[in-house]
Amino acid sequence: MDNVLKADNILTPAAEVPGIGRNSLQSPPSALNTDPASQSQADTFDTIPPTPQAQRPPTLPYQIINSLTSTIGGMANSASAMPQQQGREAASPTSSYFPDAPHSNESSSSGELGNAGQAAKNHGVENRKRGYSGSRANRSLSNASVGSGGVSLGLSLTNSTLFYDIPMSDALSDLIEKHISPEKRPRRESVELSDVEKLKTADALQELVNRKSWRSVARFTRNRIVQTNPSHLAEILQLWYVRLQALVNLRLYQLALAELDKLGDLNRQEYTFEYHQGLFPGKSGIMIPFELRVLSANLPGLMKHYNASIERLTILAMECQRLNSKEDTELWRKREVSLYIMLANFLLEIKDFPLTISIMTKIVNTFSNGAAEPDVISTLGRLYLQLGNIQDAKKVFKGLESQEASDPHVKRLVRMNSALCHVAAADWSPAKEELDAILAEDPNDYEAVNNLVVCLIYLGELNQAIAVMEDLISKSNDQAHGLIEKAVFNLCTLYELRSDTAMEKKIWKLQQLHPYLGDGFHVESFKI
Amino acid sequence: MASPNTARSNPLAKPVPGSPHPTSSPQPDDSQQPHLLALKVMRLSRPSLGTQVTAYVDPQASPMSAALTSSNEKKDQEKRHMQNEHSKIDIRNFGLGEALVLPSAFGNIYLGETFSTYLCVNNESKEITHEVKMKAELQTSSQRFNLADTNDEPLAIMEPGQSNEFTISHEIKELGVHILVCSIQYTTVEGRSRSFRKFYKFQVANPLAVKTKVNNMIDGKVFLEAQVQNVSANTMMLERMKFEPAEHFLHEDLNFFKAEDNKENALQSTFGSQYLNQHDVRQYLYLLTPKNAEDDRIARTTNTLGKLDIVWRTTMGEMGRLQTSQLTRKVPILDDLQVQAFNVPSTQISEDGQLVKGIRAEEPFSIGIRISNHSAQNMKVVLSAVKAKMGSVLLSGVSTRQLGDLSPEQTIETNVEFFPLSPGLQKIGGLKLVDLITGYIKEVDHLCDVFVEYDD
Repeated sequence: MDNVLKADNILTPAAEVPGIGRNSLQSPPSALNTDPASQSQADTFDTIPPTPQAQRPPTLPYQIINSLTSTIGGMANSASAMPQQQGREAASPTSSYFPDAPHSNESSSSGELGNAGQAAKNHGVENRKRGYSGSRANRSLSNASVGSGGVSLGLSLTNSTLFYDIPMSDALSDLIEKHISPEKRPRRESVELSDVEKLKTADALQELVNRKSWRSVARFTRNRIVQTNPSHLAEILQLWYVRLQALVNLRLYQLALAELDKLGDLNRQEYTFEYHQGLFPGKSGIMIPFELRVLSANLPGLMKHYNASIERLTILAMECQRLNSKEDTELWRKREVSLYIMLANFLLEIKDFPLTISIMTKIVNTFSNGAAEPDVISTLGRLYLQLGNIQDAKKVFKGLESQEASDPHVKRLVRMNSALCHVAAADWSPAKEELDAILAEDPNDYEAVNNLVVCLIYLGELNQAIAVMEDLISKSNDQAHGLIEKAVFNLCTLYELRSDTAMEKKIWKLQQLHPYLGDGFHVESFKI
Repeated sequence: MASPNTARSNPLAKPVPGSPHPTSSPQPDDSQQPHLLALKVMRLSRPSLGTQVTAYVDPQASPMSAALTSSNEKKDQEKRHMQNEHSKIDIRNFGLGEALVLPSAFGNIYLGETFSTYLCVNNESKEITHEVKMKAELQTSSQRFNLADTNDEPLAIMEPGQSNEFTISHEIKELGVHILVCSIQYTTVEGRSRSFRKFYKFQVANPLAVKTKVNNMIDGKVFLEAQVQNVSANTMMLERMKFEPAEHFLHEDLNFFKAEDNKENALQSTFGSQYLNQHDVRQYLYLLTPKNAEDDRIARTTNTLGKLDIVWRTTMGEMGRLQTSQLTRKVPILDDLQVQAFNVPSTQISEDGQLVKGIRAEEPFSIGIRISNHSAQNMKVVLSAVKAKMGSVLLSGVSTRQLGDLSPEQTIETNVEFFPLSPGLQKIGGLKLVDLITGYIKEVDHLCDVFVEYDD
């Protein structure tokens, strides 16, 4: 009997898996989330090579995404890099972005922060070496020169070379050109920038947004950014956010990503208030508007890289949780909940239903006021219906029915929910009745009208359906794109079902709607 | 009747082959003409809730960012109480809206689902058509289903631009290629009867792959494992997964457990959720016991165990229903003599770690042995122990004992004392049963397992 523990035994890895009750039965395979489909959509984020310089620079989209990820790694690095590099002499940076940036006026404030600035610079240099290869991305902004502080940052942010040009034609105008002869082509209502130049920024933007001319919004913000005083950092950043959001609304995701990349790592030192004590005495925190960080987190998901967005949203949510306890609890809690909701969106896309449901249920139970919030509960119920779980949806909706019947909004929700339950059970007549009841109270309830049209189809009333839908579309010019796109899609399906002359009808509709559609409309809804 | 000269300039008349002059025939051949009626078919799978992408609005939005919501939307949202100042949740960000969207493509259709379509007959021409008859049939490889037929009551008149609609539905019960054949017959103004047919082909595949594994226990109980895999293209919500046993069995569904913190004593599913994603696999476990405990011969020798009844739903409640065929097993061969242990002492430890009851090392214990005669003849049984084949649990007592006569289907029980030598999980075996009349020998290498505690 050899009782001595041999040294070899300690070093070899465990060869035997601890028994999970192994017997003659096969151990059951893992149940869920072994979905190979979702794994095939997994992006390439996880495989960041350690020395990208050794590689061939990949094609543009991949490279930009690559650099964006390195900024996440950079976040952790910047925290650790700082103490290490306190005494380190800066390696001579490759050509400073602003060789003649003024060093004078901010030197006093940045004197104390010299080390931090140095650290940021070094971090910036490191950042450069890490992820950026290829032409445009090299001109990143993470290399702030020492001691120049806010103004140089402001200068770097307002430089006109940061912007990419927006393509002048879009899918909608292409479609018009292709199908409608020149003399009949409607003119898209566009706002001349000169009209709004005189207004204050916010008012001008509201004007442009009301007409859905996101293109003009993007151009306007570009002009304003270039004109803004470089020391008004907060304003510059807000303008940047508006521009990027406009690009996203135009569905120019690559462009938005490229410009966002120019801003560099949103979490780095330069973007905090402490770094620019001269400009913002006493303030602390991150200068970047929260909405911009949310946008940068959502952007990969909009380009179908869902896992990246899920990762970033989770990191942001954790930060909200952390800041929850310090100050402004209400605010951070609201933000945290919004992040969870956006997370649920992407989880739904990758078909992780149990997790989506658990997040939404948690939101309903823990984050609401104590009193059940009708909109939130209805959303959870709708989620169940979309997944096919009618029983749980009904259970959720029941909680709502016991509430105040006097509130018309709640009454309408209850009816809509019940109509959707009937749709799921294929009881088209009861569904139609509920929707009729909603419309009796409010004939302009667009979602109800849309759903009514759908019910009419399934009940076999094509003509009536077409008539109602055409009426809806003609009335809803000022509605959000989301609803119009769905209504148009449904209507074009109806046209196709009706006759062979569907194409003409669709084009006619396109012509009719064109002046009101604005920018960023999903033209595929027309099915042309 | 046109003269030969003018007939040549008539574009519609088809020249009669072989004749030098195109003479107009008494009935002009118009099979090339477009039909006056058109038929449109659309599959009516469920609509789905449309998704939308809304921009995030921060509670602390600057005036510039607030400008990103159009004024109309702001009014609309106020109208809908979504800007409730007391609300902590901005549910606008969730993508799933209230508006339904019609299905964009035919999609896949699977066995067990209901195929419903919308047929629309439309008069595209400027003439009136009479006596419109419509017939729709679903043809599979073996059968033909008549789904709609208006031959008995044809539509008398169809004006230009008028349309006639039908919704038909049919539950799909066969695999393979299905063809929807729609034939329209009508009479034109001139009295000619015309008809046309359209064929719509689609494939029906199996949505679930079911495999089974059977474990037969000695006492007639059967553990049935059913492995279900989702091979369709959609995620399924399993509404119902029920096992219906064959008539000789009682069944127990082992796929639920009582959660410890569950006050209502409701049962929780072992799988945690009802959603089966594409390619996911689940194994369900069922315990079947023979209904008739005394006469379980039929239950032991039958090869049909029962069937699975599955109901699932996909997007917005699109339902499917399937029943598997009878699940079978290979019939276990029944030994003439059946040996079973009972009254095996189990271990129970008190809260402070003391052994309340159980088997201690080097302390004798006894178990009961039940022997049944499943043959058709009388037996005279002798039980003996083979020391070489016994593990560390030895027989304590006489190594051979006469058990007496056993008539067919009779059971006798006896107590046997054992002595455990070492602690741990030990097997009891090494017994031999001999029938003195026929000389039939049954060796029991492994009767049961016992856990032997340390002797402190």
